[in-house]
Amino acid sequence: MTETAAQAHRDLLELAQLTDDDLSTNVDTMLSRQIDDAELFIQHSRSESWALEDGKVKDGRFAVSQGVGVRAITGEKTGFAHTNELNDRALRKACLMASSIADRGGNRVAQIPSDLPFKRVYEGGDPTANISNDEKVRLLSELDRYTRGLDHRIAEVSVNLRGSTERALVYASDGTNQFDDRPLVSCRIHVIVKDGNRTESGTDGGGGRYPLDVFFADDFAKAKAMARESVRMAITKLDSVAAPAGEMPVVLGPGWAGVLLHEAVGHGLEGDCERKQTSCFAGKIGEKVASELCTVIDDATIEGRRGSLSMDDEGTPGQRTVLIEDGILRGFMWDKHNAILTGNQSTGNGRRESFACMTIPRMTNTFMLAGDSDPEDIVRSVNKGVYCSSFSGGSVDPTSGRFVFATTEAYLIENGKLTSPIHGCMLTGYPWDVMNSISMVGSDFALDAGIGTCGKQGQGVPVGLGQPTLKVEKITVGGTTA
Amino acid sequence: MTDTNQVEDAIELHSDGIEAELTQLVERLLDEARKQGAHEATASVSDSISVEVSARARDIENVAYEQGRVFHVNVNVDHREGTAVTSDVSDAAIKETVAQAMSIARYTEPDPCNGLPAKDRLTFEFKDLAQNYPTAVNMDRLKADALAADAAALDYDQCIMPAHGADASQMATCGVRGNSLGFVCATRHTGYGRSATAIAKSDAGMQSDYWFDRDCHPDKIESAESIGREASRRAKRRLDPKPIRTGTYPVMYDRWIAPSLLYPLIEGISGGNLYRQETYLEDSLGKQVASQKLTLREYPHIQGRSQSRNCDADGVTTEEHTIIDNGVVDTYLLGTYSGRRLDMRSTGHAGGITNVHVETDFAPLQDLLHEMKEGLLVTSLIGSGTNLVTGDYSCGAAGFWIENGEIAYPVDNVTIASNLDAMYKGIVGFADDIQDRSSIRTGAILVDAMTVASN
Repeated sequence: MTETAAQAHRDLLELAQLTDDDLSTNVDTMLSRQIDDAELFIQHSRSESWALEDGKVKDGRFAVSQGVGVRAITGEKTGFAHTNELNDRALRKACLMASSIADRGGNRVAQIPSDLPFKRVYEGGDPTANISNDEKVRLLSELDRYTRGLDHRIAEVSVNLRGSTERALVYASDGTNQFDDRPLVSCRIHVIVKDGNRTESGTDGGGGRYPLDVFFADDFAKAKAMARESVRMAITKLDSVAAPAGEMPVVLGPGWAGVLLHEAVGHGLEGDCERKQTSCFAGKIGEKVASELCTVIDDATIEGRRGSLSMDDEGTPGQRTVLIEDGILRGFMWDKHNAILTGNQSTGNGRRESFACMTIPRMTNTFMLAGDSDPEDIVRSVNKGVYCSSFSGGSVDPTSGRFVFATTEAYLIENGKLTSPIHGCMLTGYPWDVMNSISMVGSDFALDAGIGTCGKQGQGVPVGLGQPTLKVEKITVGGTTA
Repeated sequence: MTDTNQVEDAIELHSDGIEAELTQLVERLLDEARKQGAHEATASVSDSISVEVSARARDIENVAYEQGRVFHVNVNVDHREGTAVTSDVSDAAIKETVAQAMSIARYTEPDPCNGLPAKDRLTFEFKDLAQNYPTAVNMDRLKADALAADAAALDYDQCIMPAHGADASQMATCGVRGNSLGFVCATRHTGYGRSATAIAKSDAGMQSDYWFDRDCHPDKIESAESIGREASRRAKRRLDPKPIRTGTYPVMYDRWIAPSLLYPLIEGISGGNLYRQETYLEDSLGKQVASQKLTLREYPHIQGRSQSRNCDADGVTTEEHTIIDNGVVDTYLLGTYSGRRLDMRSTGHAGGITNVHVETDFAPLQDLLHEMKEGLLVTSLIGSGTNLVTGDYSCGAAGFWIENGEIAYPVDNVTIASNLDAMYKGIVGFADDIQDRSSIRTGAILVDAMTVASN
């Protein structure tokens, strides 16, 4: 641990009015109640957000969230309790409640925590520290003025700037005593454009685990680029026509379109689905589940990305996990609990929205590696189909595998060329159909800009996505022109 | 082993004094705001306790206890606003939280539409909405319920496999809100819930489904056995789906998902979307936006319903409203701020709707199915594909293919698409299989034509 991290660790305990002894005493007491594994998760988060609409910086919000989550595990059973009262009395009570799950545990061989090196993939500390409130307000106003000047058809502009820091300490009976300090920032621009009787909207944004300064550098260059992109998207859509309906070839653009992978294969490869055999991928390790052009990775260790983690919420160092290699299923994403029960090792994917939520296996940054095809050749190869460059999000039912994702910017492909933009529509398919029909993978790999939040069991966590341009031979496009 | 009684004793349920305790905290927050120079302020404190037990594969899997308190304060200085939220419940946090809100208010810009409602719109008399039925936590009972629901799901049919299981839960919340005009509203809610998920398996693959019930009153929820069986029945009936031919067909939303068809209409005439011009229903007041068969009325004060409330999030008294009258927009849904932005009066809708009822001539479900003849009965939707700005609608759907007014076979992995304007105007009828569990009370809804895409 660096000196600053050690200090931050001490600060968090002091804030919680707890000592290292309190942690060990409470964990030992839980173990004496026939518990296999006991874990304390102490968290303190601060966030601030600033919003502009109607030309005014009118909303500012500051939030503090702090508390402790206690987990007691015996066999397949988990007892969980949390409290936002931070002191030893509240902690003891939460430990008592969590250990009520005990019925026959206490004889598991102690697990040894991961000996993987703990590599910091972001700097700790408050990411907004270098920027005064005056400057934040100036960015919003300047961005509003700049955006409105881009096109006379702009009717409304809204801008949102956020920065947060989360300090978390994991102390567990397996010897884990790990601390992390996670910054997260984002900037988002949304525009409404009107032309005659047509109205359209466009959104762009970005962010990651780095200082807020990024948006302020070079006269707000990064934020202004987002403004131009949101306006371009909205103006383009003013000319959009009805989307086609039915099964057809679809080309997905680089970056954010990786939402396809997140839904089609990502969720089904989270370890809880494998342990409970509730995923359409359960038990298929070593089998071909996608076209041989596909290699899919989950990687928490990329510097400063939105989905990156130096450690997960169980104190396991962030890792890079190969999920699919040349079309063959190689691995699942594991948290400790599901890994232990199935004889696997945690892959550092145990995550929770906050101390108030149970840890479950989740993705970090999930993406497909680049292939050999020229992106232009990919589009040229399609006679009649759809090109999608932006999405609002997706969903999946991991059991049947059925997934959907909604386009926000898409075009018809006619005779190998992009023609009219089309209205937003849903795409739907089964993973084995879609992943096996990926016939071309581009050389233009890109990660998304850093605005993704993934929801599972009511918990939202920041994630990253990425992919090169790729061609799916057939997927159902949910437009209105049958 | 930990004694269950010891744990039950440790769960401190809300005492009768909880409202007074939280009211005092709200008053301290408001006092502090005044001291630090706020001209107006709103504060709220909520405290909730919940216990949830889940069972899986005929054994208890998780037990979760949650207890949390949150402070929220909003200050107004010369029409500039700042908000701060904290879960730090220490004494020092009151001062600090107000100071944070004040520091933000120094940087935001003045907006003449900000500010509290006029005092005569605020609620000072409260009806008993009968939402609070506290009972001591009985862990054995919760465990038995979760196990019974899980067992009933597994016992339903041989095709049912252990899935994510079933759970039983209870919660209690006390919330107090107040503002610097002397308004104080204290509410207490209880909630009891049971749910189950089931996975059915055949040679063609697996299908999962879910069932639940929730109520303020512990005796009003569906039995654990019934919840489990229903989850399995729903999963089993989805097995072995067939593709259909892409085309334009009548589409019926079954009674459980019918409310989701009407939510965009509610959102489209809500203040925030109207003043941001984020809705295709701008300038729709007094205009025909849906079939003449659609009338929506709101009843905010129904006893025993968790959505009921005496006042909205701003403290403005809620009233009965006709929202849509034979397809015509009768009122927008406005809060204090959005009302001022649109130069209109708040309708008491800050924070959304309460209990909305479809009022129409409901037809027997069988008659509607026969009227539809051939088309799609949708029983589940996946993904949010509604663009309120343009009205474009495209959703993933599953359900049943209807032939000659009868269910022919299950359908999965299709999309249904149209435009909200055409869909609402194309509502053919409402079935009399009315359900009252969501905030919109309705039966199944038949829409004349939508594009259904399939593989």
